[in-house]
Amino acid sequence: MNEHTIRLTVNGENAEVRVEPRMLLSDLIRHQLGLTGTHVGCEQGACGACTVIIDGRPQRSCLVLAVQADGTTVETVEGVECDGIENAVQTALHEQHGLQCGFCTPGIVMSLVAAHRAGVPAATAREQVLDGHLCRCTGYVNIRAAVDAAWEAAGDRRTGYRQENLGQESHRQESHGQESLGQVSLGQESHRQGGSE
Amino acid sequence: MKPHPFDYAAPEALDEVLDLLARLGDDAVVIAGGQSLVPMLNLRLARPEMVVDLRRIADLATFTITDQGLRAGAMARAIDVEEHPDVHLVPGLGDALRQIGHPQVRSRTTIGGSVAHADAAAELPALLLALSGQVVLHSVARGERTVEAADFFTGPMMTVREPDELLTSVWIPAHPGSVAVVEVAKRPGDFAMVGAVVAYAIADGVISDPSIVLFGVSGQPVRMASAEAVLVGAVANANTFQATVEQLREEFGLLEGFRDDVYATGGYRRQVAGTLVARALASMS
Repeated sequence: MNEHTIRLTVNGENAEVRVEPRMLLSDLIRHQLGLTGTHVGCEQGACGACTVIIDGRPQRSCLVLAVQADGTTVETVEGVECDGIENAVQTALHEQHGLQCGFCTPGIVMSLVAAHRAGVPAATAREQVLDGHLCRCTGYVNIRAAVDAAWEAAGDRRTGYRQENLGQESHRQESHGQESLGQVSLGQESHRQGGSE
Repeated sequence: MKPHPFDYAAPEALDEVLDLLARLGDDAVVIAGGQSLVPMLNLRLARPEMVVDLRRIADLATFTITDQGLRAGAMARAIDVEEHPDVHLVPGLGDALRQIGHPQVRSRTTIGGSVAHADAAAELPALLLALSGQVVLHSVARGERTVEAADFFTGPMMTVREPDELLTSVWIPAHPGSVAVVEVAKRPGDFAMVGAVVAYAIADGVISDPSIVLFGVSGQPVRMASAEAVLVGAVANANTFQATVEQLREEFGLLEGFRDDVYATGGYRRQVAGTLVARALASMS
């Protein structure tokens, strides 16, 4: 079989894999790397469920051949840190009921995280970034509210307000049993922020 | 669906790409950003024997923007041009880029790929035509040749590019006046049902260098020459614009193969085309 060896970094870990040229990055991520948080909806770039961050930019992993990702740095929803904007986005989607079945959510999280890191304002994220995602449950109202809440929370973090909330967030997340999201750094984050201010 | 199997090459030199295209012709397909090609592979609308990737050829990813225009290598990404601080030097360029697909698609979309793909509803081919741009093609057999935009597009996803030729760069000149890029799509980011690129300058109190291109209405972007003629030498006012729009709707009726499909009837497209151009003209005066 005509296969190519590619090397890429996925969620901070180096991976070397052999792939057929026709393998999509989304399938590499899901089937060979076992990271099934990246969902595949339409496989034609319309739904946005498979969005991952490649070299800092949000991209459709179903519209990238795995061989094209040779040498790139890929972030999937599993690699999303649980502090800063990453946490703000996930918390806001949760608190604002910005998801129901959750199929579209990983892609939305990745797009919003990339947008916030790039300094995209909330209004643009709400209108243009979410345009690239189909959600059949929520009607978008609550997702849009989550964008505002996430951006506000991240802004609060810059003014030091968010630090006061960290204890509550930590408590709430524990009470919802979400440790599986890997939110182990919250306490350290709180401590680090306290030390820097 | 998954793509049919194909071979893959990512040469590091332009000559290697041209050699592959010379050898394989239509059996090879070039991938730049892949935002149109990969869906076609996934749907098996395209079943090439080989996909030739341009990603390792650094020269093709460069672009320069001056007050003269944009020179973009085939791999220059839409998002990088869109975010460039000088993008405003080429009127209409930023507006055209921002209406391509979604931000997540523009991360990969390339200028050259969009022009070479020549989708009738795409923004960049329409802008290229409206601003009288040029396309540079390379091949082993013919070397380098430059094709005017007016000669480049020949039909739905069809251009004068020969199977052994590679589109290496695109030249989009800066218009001396203002340029509007407007479209109507079912949802933002979808392909336009109707779109228009409208440009003109004012010299000595009257309109000069008018350009009106419609996209999404027929098999390729079309210049509406008789509507443009109404603008030449006229004063930029409501009467002129009204006459232009009336002429545009007349001319639309004569277009060969205007689209009349499940997304919109030909009559709807004709009506919306007039409204879009009217709005564009008004917004620019």
